[in-house]
This record gives sequence, C-alpha cells and structure tokens, in this order.
Amino acid sequence: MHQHHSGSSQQMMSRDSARGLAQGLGWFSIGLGLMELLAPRQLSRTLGMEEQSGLIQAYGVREIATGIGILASRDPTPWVWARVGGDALDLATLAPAVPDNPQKGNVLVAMMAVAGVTALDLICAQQLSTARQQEQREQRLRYLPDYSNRSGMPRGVEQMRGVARQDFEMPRDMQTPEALRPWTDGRPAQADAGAMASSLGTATTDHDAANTSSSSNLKPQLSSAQVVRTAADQVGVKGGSGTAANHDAATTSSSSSLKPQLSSAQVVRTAADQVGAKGDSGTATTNHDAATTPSSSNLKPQLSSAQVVRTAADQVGTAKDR
Amino acid sequence: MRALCWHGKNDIRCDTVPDPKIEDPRDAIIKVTTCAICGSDLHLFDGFMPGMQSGDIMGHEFMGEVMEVGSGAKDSLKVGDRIVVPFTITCGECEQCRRGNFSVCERSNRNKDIADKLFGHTTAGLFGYTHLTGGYPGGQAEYVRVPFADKTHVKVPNGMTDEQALFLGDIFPTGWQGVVQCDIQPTDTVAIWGCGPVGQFAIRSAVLLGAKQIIAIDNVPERLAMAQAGGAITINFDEESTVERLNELTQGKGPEKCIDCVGMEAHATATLDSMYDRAKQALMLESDRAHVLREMMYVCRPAGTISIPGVYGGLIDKVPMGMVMNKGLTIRTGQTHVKRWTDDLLRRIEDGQIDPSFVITHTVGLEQGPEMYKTFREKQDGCIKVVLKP
Ligand SMILES: NC(=O)c1ccc[n+]([C@@H]2O[C@H](COP(=O)([O-])OP(=O)(O)OC[C@H]3O[C@@H](n4cnc5c(N)ncnc54)[C@H](O)[C@@H]3O)[C@@H](O)[C@H]2O)c1
Ligand SMILES: [Zn+2]
Ligand SMILES: [Zn+2]
Repeated sequence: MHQHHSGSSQQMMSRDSARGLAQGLGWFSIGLGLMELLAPRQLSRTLGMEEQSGLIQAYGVREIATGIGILASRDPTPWVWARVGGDALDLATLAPAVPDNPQKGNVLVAMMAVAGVTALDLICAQQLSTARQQEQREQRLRYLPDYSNRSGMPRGVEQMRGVARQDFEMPRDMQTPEALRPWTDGRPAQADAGAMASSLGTATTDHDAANTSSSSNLKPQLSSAQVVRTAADQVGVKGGSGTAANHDAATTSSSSSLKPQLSSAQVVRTAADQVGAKGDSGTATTNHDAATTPSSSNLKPQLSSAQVVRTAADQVGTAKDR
Repeated sequence: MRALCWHGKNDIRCDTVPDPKIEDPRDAIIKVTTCAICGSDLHLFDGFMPGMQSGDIMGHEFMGEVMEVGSGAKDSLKVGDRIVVPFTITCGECEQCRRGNFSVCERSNRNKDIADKLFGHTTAGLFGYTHLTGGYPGGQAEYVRVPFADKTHVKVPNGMTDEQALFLGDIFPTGWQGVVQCDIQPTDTVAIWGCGPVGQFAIRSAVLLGAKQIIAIDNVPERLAMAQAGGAITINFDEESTVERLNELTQGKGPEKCIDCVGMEAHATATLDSMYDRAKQALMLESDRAHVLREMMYVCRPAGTISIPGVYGGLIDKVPMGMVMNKGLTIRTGQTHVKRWTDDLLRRIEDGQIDPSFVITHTVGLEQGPEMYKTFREKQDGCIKVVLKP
C-alpha cells in the first residue's frame, strides 16, 4: 500500500506538469492558428509558397480547433496527439518547398521551429498517455481477482481439445483450399495432430535458422510501412533522392530504440515520411509529387471519405426510421 | 419502461421511454430477463461509430420471455417461450439468408438505402447499433421488439440458465466463427489478439476445434489469466514483443492462423505506427486504428489465414497490402452469422463441452448500466463481462 502511494504521487506530479505543458501548447496552437488564418498571404510569401495560402488558412483552422480541444477537454491527451499529427502534416508540407525555393532559408527556419515544437508535443503527449495508462493500471491493481480457474470447460480443457472435430461439419465456404493446407512428405496432412506435429518438426528444422535471423533482423516494433521500407532499402532500392540518407538514419535508429523514449525528431521525420513520401522510387518529380500529396490527393480524399462516412451517418441520424 | 439510452460520446443514461409495440406481423415483443454489454457497445460509447442519434436504446446481447407475438410469427413462437435473440436480424428468406450468410441479410435493414450508399450494399439490420443498420432499439431495456421474430430467435431449453444461454446471441458464435473461418488444422498454431469476451470464446472454440497451440495476446493481467485457464499460452504486450514471441513459439515461422478480437480501438503500444494512428484518428483523417491488423499481416505465416471478428467502422491507413499479397494470405471477416452456429453450439453447451457463464465477472441491475460501461471500458475491478438484469 505504502509503496503504491509514493509511486502514484510521483506520477501525479509528472501528470500535472504534462498538463501544464499541454495548456501552453493549447494557447500556442490558437495563436499560431489565428496568424495562419488572418495573415495567410504574408506567411505564404515569406515561405515562397504563394499558391498555398488557402492551405495555410485551412491549417490555421486546424490549429485553432486543436488548441480549443486541448484547453476545453477534460483529458487533453488525444488533442495533444492531434497536434503531433498536425506537426507531421506541417513538416510534410514544408519539406517539398525546400529545393528551388527563393525563400529556402525561411522555409528551413520554419521547419526547425516546427520540429522544435513537435518535440515538445511528443514529450507532452507521451507523458500524458503514460500517466493515464499508469493510473488505469493502478486502479486495476487495487483489486486483482483470480480467474485462473475459469476454464469454461467443466470437463477440463485437455479433455475437450478437438472434440468438435468429430462432429462439426466445416462449412464449404470457409474451408481452406487444398493447396493451402499443411502438407507432409508431399501429401496433405491427416487429421492426426501428433504424427503431423513431429514430422513437421523434423522436416523443417534446417529452415528455421534462416527464418529466425531474418525476422529478428527487422525489428517487429517498427511500423509495417517502415519494415517494408527498411526491407526495400536493404535490397538496394533507395528512397527519395535528397532525403535518402536522412530517411535511412531515421528508420535504422528507430528500429533500435523502440521504447517510449524514441528520439522525437526521428519520430517526426518518419511520421512525415509516412504522411508525405509515398513514392520510394527516388526521382525528383516523384519526390515532389509525394510531398505535395498530403495537401492535394492523399489527405483530402481520406479526409473527405472519413467525412463522407460521418456525414452520411449524420444524415442517417436525422432520417426517420421507417 | 426503463432502457439504457445513448446521448452522445461517454453519455449513456438509464431513461424511461415508451414501451415497444408490435409494428409488423412478423414481430414479437419480449420481456428481457438478462442482457449484457458488449465490446462493440464500447465503440458507440467512445463515439467511434457514426450513425447514432441521441436517445437511441443500446444493447444487442439479450434474452427473455416472449410476451406478444404478431400474426406472422405465430407458427414458430408462442407467448411464454424463452428465447435468446441473435444480434443480427435475419429474414431467413433472402438469397444471403438461404446461404447462411445471415449477417448480410438483404432485407432486415430498414435503412437499406443509406447502407447501400455507405458500404456499396446493405448488410443485415442490427439491434441497438446505429441507424446505418436499421436503428432498431436495442436490448438493454425491459422490453424489446424483435423484428422477423419467427426467424430471429434461439429457443432456450428448460434447465439451461440465462447465464449459460445468453452469449449464444453474439460473443460465443462470434468467437466460434472467428476460429471456424480459419479452418483449423490439427497442426495449427492460432494466435488470438485480444482477451476480451470475444477473445475468450475464440480461445475455447480453438480448443474444441483442435488447434495444436493457442496463443493469446493482451495486456490486462486478469484477462490473460482467464485466457490461460482456457488453454492458451499468453503474451503480455506491455512486457514482451508480440512478434518476437510469436516467432519464437513457432520456430520462426509465424502462426498459421491469426485472429483479431480487438477491433478498431487497438491500444497504442510503444510503436511508431500506433502513435501515427492515434494522431490521425484524433484528426479525423482515419476512423479506425489498425495496429493489430498490421501486426497480424506481418507475423502470419505465408499461405496462412487472417480472421477478423473485431469490428472496424470505416477507414484504416497504411495497410501493408504488399505483405498480404506476397505472402498469399487469406483474409476472412464479417459480422457473425449467428443463426448459422447456434443449434450446434447450444448442443455443445447442453453436452457440457463448454459453460459460457465462465466469462461473467459482474452482474448488476439496469440502472447501474451507465457506470458499468465505464468499469468495463477501463477494465476496472477485474471486469471482463457485464451482465445486466432489467
Ligand atoms: N464480428 C462480430 O460480429 C462481433 C461481435 C461481437 C464483438 N465484436 C468485436 O470484437 C471485438 C472484441 O470484443 P470484446 O467484447 O471482446 O471487447 P473488449 O474491448 O472487452 O476486448 C478487446 C481486448 O483487446 C485488447 N487489446 C487492445 N489493444 C490490443 C493490442 N494492440 N493487442 C492485443 N490486444 C489488445 C484489450 O485490452 C481488450 O482486452 C470488438 O471490436 C467488438 O466490436 C465483433
Ligand atoms: Zn456484440
Ligand atoms: Zn435475409
């Protein structure tokens, strides 16, 4: 009981400081949002992205919304996470503007500023999330019932293993096609678990080593998109021209440091990659396309389809059921 | 009558509402004796499923006594019958129903036109589960109108308790179908993500259907303990890497069969893709979190099967289709065709192969429902399955 107490007061403190930080980020969001909303032209000119002023205004609305969310909600955690997503979006929008931009210097400064705030956002979001999880865990620990006798099988689990095989008729539409069933000695497996298990075991030992090493090679905690990417990189298909090196660095280091202490900049970069860089093929044009995608083709359709779901749903909501 | 009504995210109340009436000859009215809160209800409680309206009655796991039968259902039901009501409403006559694909019944969704727009084609009507699937008042109430009642029921034999029979309406057949869809071979390792009620029944189903090795994944200790009691090897994803451990347990080859009993609200783990999902979901750029799906696609053995009883509502992002395609994986999913399995499963309960009441951890009155939604969601107090007595 005692130990618990000290532990939780420490967590309370870190939670409180994270909440304080969240407040600050909330106001910052609103401030930045207002600027983007009210002075999009100036901003876009400074960044050498004149044709993007509409987008900047939209981002302003997003900033204000997340800011209000953080300040107004009982639990700011999801809103701070939303900021992290928004940061990734900002970076993905700025990055393609770097090459052949007359205001390259300004863009780089802007990106560095965003990256700095992103680091804060991430730290804050993670602290909030961890604090919340810890609270939940503690709550659970207060009373840990013992379900170790709840097998649900009055006659014992081992006695029940496979009993349904004797009389259950496997529906045809759910059967595994013959070719995908386990084979042994070039013949389909019989319904004899023991024999099959042992013969499979011996038949496959020699492959095991190779399989294991390749799978431990790619750290499982990587997001699958990254795994694909890393794997592709290993094979020699390098990522987008200018960013290839960065990008490798990011993937490699994140694979070695999966735990909550991920370096935030890397996370951002990778997140930005995920949002922005669709094409891995590496030519300048692909890169450019990929990077502008979030504003035009990538995110909008997603946004709009997500909204379609919701709007349609709302329509249903108001429609009278017959 | 009293009923648990949805009033918005995190807002479910025990309200007094008008009693239901027969509206169609095939209807019946039942007095609910026992009902339950399902993991699917949490998606509504958390505001992740679109299409709810303030005042909607919740609940799709319920059973009770028949009070009134419409003229068109008289041949198969009579007043006083004890029935469990499947959560998928089925007409029993359309082409899909005749094939046993009850959860995609072509007739039972009275908001068919909207579902047609949203999903391309309509699916079955569901109790208490948004207006996209008919907006039918649910079963966390004292009385319920059951449409197509002549087909949408399972008669409960004398001597079987409510607690043993209730889960035939949803989670037992759901866990069962999740496993059947994998067509278990006696050599198979089956990995099951999520040890909530659906996962628990999937584990027991995999035992009955004779899987060689069953591995269950979650991070809630008491749920893992219950999974282990049911014959599973457990992985706590807070403490170890799911993928590494699964490979270890399968000589580096991965499980042949992977089952998602988690659905769209997968917990963030300490992985990049989880954070990414969280951020996007909060921005409404993605409606569902796909961490478990990605993990399954990654770890599943080539030529293996992925089965998805976990509910998804809309869009997911960064699905590694390349893995699925190149490894030649089979994916099967769907709302449960409840009626397709209930006769068989009822017999297994009667036969003593399984006693579904093992999963119940909390039994309370209807008026305590709103707070139990929280207890269940937060997994407080060892809560795994809540049963309500109206
Ligand atoms: N297909 C159908 O017809 C049908 C029917 C009923 C329920 N469902 C769905 O099945 C799912 C489970 O239902 P339930 O009642 O068991 O709900 P639940 O919320 O009690 O269980 C979900 C479990 O998944 C665990 N989990 C979360 N993230 C995880 C992760 N990353 N890895 C492993 N485990 C994780 C949670 O800790 C929890 O124990 C829900 O999505 C529900 O909507 C589908
Ligand atoms: Zn359910
Ligand atoms: Zn039908």
